[in-house]
Parts: sequence; structure tokens; C-alpha cells
Amino acid sequence: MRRWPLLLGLLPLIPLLVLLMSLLERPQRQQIAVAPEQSSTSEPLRLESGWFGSPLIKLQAELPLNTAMGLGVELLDAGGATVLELAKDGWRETGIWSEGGESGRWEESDAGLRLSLRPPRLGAYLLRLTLEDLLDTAGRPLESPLLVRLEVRNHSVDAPLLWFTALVTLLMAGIAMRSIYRNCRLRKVLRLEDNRVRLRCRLGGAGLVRMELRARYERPSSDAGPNAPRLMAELQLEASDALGRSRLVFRRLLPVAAHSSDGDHWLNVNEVLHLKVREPLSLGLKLTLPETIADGGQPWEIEWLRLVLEDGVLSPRPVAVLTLEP
Amino acid sequence: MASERTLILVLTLSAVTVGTATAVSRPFLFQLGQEGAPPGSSGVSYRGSYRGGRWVPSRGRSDWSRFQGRGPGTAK
Repeated sequence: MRRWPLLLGLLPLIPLLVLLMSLLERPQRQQIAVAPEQSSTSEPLRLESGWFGSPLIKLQAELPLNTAMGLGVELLDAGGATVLELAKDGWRETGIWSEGGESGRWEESDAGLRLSLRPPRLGAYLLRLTLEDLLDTAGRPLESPLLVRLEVRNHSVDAPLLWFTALVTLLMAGIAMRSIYRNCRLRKVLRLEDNRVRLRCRLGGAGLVRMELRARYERPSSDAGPNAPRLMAELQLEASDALGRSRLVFRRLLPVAAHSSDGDHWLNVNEVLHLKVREPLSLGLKLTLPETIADGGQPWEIEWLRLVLEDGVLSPRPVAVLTLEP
Repeated sequence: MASERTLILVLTLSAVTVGTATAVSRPFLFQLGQEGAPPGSSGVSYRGSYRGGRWVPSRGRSDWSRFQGRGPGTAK
């Protein structure tokens, strides 16, 4: 058993946790009313220049329907000097669309501004907003003041990059875990119409020998389902070395699963056994299941038995391991 | 096979480290005082740029093209 590679599955959580930490920050919010052709200044904003994320300033103008604006934005430092100046042209428009006999109302707008930047040092800054134009669709100036919502976050991160990183890491962690847990050797795949399998194979060394057994039983000439509520089947495993000496005899009662579909009934027996063989050696294996399973009616007869034998298996979880007698 | 596994592990750890660190530190973000102006976005025009660490306003206002709506042709 080797558990540490399972921790690789936690790696994609790292970028998502960083994103969550960023979203948990409480933003600074203000509302600023600006009259046409006048300026309004915000309350002081604290902009940080730390290692975790960067400041994000978001402005959203509450434009009336069918209007357009020209908004001047100045970022001032604590001394009142302009450190950044820009103009935002915004609009909000609505109307009726009709196409193919159908119609409805549409509304579109572009009245928001996102400003991602990093100040040279931590400090208080101000935003001065000037409503240079507020017009209706005919180009007539409006006199009503404009409400602008301001939100500032100091620990904004690159969310799309974090999502991409989580996805790529998930993919690569899956490949890494598969390269560790599925790096085994497939020795045999057998499917027999018999209740026993005999084979000899060179097995052993690092990892475990894994035997995956699957069998199917059917009633030969009856469509009746199972009579007994719980059926069991005994599995017997015998292992012998190159000289024919018996090194292992193992018996286990296995639960039998009943299935049915479209009036057809059958039983399945599934089991996985792990065997530790310290040194590679020629090992004879004999696996036996009952030829029939009785449940009061016509007995169930074996249809087929399938065995997948692998060597060098590492398990991510604890498993019961059989060992050879010396 | 062991060397391939090591390579996959190194690549996995590198991907999570570089991606997360870049998303947090944002090394290509505009810093106040840096030469030039921040990259523009929809409807935004900068009225100046940084030269020698100082914000230098540009002369005159940009030509504002009034109503910018795209109209019902694109709305569904």
C-alpha cells in the first residue's frame, strides 16, 4: 500500500482555495452622485500593494434608459496630485426587436469600468468623477445627477488563470496517480467455461499479485429467479511452487449477487484477491468455484469464469494480503 | 519508468506553483509610475501617460462619438 500519491488529488484545491480567500475579502463600497458638468470626489480609498493580489477598482454608473454619458475619472494620491486620468464613454439603450413574427424588448448597456492596477506603495487615494456629458438618444443634455457605485478590492487575483491552473493540475495529478497505481504488469486474462482455472506463471517481487475473479451462473433450462434470499459460493485458491509443493491453500465464502433483465435471471460472483510473493518465482495457481449453486429449485450452473492476473500492483488503500507459507 | 514518474510529479507541482503564484502576484499588471498607460478597455481612453515616473496629461479631450449603442440588430 502506498498512500502519499493520493495527496496529489488535493493539489487542484490550492488555486481554488486562493480564489476563495480572495473572494472572502470585504470590499470598500461607496456611492457617488455626480451632477452634469460637475465633479464629485469619493471618500479616501485605501489601496494596498502587498504580495497577495492587487487592487481592483470597479465603477458602475446607474444610467437612466436611453441615455449616454461621458465620465471623467481621476485617481488622486493623498497629496491631491493626479496619478491617473481617463474618460469613460457609457450608454444604456432599450428598444423592441421583431424577427420571424416574434418580438420582444432588448436592453444593452456599457456603463461599467474595471481598473486593475498596483500602487507603488500602500496609501490613501481619492477618485474624482466629472460628468462631462449626460445625453438622451436625441443628443439633448439631461440635468439629473448620475449615481455611480464604487467598489474597491485590494486582493483581486486572476480568477480565470486560477481556474485554468486547477483544471491542468487535476489532469496532471490524475496522470501522476495513474502512473503510480496502474504501473503493474498484466500477466493473464482468461475466460473459461469451467468452474476452475489452473495456470503457472512467474510472479512476485515488488508490489502485489492481484487476482480479479468473476463468474456467472444460470439455470440450464428454467427461467425461474433465485428462491433463497441469500446465496453463497465457496472459492478455493491453491498455490504451489516450482517443485509442486503446496505453499498456500485458501478458502472463502463469497456472496452471490442475483441479476435479472427481461425475464432472464443469472448470478454473479466477484472477488479480488491480493497475494504477496516476495521473490519472483514460478507459481502454480488453481482457483476453484462450485460447479453448481443449489437454492431449492433447479440448480444454477456455471456459465463462465473470468480471471485477470496482474503483478507489481500498488494499492492506494489497505487490502487484505495473502502470503505464501515458507 | 521511475524517471518518467518523477518527471510527471515535477511537472504537476510546477504547474500548480507557477499558475497560482502568477495569478496571485500578477507580474504583468500595470503599476502606477510605470512608463506608458494601462491597457485600454471598452469605452475607456486614458488622458495621459507616465513619463519618467510622472503622470503627464495629454492635451485636449478625445473625440466622443456620442451614442455608442449597438441597437436591436445585435440584441436577441
